[in-house]
Amino acid sequence: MSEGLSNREVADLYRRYGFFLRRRCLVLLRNSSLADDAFQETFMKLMRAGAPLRTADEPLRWLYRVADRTCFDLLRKTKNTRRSSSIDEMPEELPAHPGVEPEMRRAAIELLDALDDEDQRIAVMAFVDGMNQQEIADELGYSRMTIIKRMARLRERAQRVLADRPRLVAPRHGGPS
Amino acid sequence: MSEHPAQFHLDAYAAGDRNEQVTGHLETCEACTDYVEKARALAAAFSENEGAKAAEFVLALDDERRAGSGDAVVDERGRPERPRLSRRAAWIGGTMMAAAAALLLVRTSSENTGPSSVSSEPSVRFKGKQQIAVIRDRRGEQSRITTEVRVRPGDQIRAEISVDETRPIEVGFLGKDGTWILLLAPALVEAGTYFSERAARFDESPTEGWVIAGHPEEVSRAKTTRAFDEVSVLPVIAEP
Repeated sequence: MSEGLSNREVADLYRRYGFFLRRRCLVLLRNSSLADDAFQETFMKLMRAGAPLRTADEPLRWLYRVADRTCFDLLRKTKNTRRSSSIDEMPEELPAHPGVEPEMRRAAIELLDALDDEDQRIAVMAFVDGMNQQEIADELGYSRMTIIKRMARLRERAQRVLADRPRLVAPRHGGPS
Repeated sequence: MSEHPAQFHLDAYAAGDRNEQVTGHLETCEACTDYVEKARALAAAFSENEGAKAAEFVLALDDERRAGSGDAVVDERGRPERPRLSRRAAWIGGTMMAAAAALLLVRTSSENTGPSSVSSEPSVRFKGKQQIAVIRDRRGEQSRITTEVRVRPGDQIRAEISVDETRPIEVGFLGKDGTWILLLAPALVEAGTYFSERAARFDESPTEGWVIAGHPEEVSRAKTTRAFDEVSVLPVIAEP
């Protein structure tokens, strides 16, 4: 059993990171109402058992993982009833991470429904967060080679999504410097 | 995937977290700089507008938590089971009210520094409500007043507020001429007794009015309508 954060701590996190967490939920779920649920649930988890966050080196990264898990759960539970919008219709969206191909990001997000738990995490780390293979391997505890293989499979599946949906074309935002 | 910092690094930087690696990267990367600037602007707007409602958001969640099941462990992978949330803690992003005062959190503490020698009147605590008193300082002599507050030129008043449960509170002095002097800024206070961080001093012709305490929205309404049904009030009367 783990200790939760105090109301004051949760409120501080809400002010500091609320925008980013809400946007994260919106990007992954592409549904405003579900994003609200996930956003609330993320903070609820912090209130109930979020004490480990106090010692996290990277609080927002930690929060994103909690939010990601919450979103994945919601994706599963609402798979047959949910109506999701296109990423392009998300009003609060920022441009994609500069190191991520927007088309791949979009395809990976649309693919989340069809992925198992671990591939969902890899897809988000790679195609939303823009993490490199070694970073993903380190976070998940796999070898880099394993991540390379799984990312290659994910990329293939994402490209099939792109091929099936020719409308998913958007200008790229920046490239590696 | 790239030479760029991961998104959570850029986002955290935009939120105000320090990161020397990101700082160094931004010096040479226009794309990331542009991203961070946009994110920072949006986050600042959120903080300014929605941040004021953080207290209510948290209180609503707290109600849900109390009504829900037992604790679960949240690890870095965020795996706990969830109780279904009601819509009471619904997203409050719809209405961007810039005029809303920032809600500050006040830590529950037994170290509140009230006057050391105060002549006090008896008081009654009401479960689930706030109780207000005024500490009047008259030439160094302090009195704790829970009914009508009589003031003379040079008097200074400070508010004491007691609550039995966590709630947002604002306290101030409303003059009959419409003057508003904030004594305790909107704050989420936990059960306990607090003294206002500010005091109101009366000049040569003291303005009569009321010391008002309550939920910030109710206080705001009371200031406008002069209807004090939903707030705690102590009248302030000028002594001849």
